[in-house]
Amino acid sequence: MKTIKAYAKFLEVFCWVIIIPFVIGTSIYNWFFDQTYWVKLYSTYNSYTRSFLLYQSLSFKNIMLPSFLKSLGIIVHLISLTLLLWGLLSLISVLRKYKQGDIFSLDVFRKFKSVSKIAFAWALYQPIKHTLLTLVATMHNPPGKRVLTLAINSNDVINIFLVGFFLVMTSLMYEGYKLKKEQDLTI
Amino acid sequence: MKINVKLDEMMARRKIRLKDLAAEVGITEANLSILKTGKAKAIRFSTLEALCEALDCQPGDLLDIEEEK
Repeated sequence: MKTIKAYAKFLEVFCWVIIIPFVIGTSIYNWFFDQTYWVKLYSTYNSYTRSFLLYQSLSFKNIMLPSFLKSLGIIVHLISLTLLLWGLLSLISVLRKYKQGDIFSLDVFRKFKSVSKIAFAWALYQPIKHTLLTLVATMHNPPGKRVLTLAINSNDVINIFLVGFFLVMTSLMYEGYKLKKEQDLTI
Repeated sequence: MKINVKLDEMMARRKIRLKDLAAEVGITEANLSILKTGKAKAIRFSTLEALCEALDCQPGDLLDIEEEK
């Protein structure tokens, strides 16, 4: 029990001090301070769509996305970031319960279930995010050069595996809760 | 079929309070109450032995079985 509490405390502090600030900080830096971020976004999605020749013929100024499209891109990223932060905060609430020694209760099972639902939503959103960013990156291209893509890469496959693992863990938490409930009512 | 724990009957016969019985058996009043009200899922042999010793009775005096309606 001491080990579980110690690990839970460490992970909670790690989430608050390292992961959450890093995720939020890098997102804000990329969106508002990194001048090359939007250029890379534009060139990446246009190279995927074989519009690279168009990119090569344009000057640096021309390939900067307009503010309206940057805002759209930020909104697309913001959905993913919100899901990620929501999942992390739910996980932190589970870790707090573990810190208190409460491991196999109904409350912990419910929180764990919500973490796996959020992880599922996040994993499902990643290919959709790719499609939306392609739209954002090519929306201000001339007619005939605007593209819509649908792609699933190795990261998406890994995400699906992780979500599946979370679902298995959720079932395990429920079995643990049932066993504890029976044990508590054994006098 | 449901197994009943006739603890309240035996406690009344032996004129012993819940608090005193719990102290003698070595379990909490809350757990003894769970047993008395029929909410317990299982009972350990060690607990049954301690109850029989404290109430000076047989396990059969504490447990009976009834058909569920």
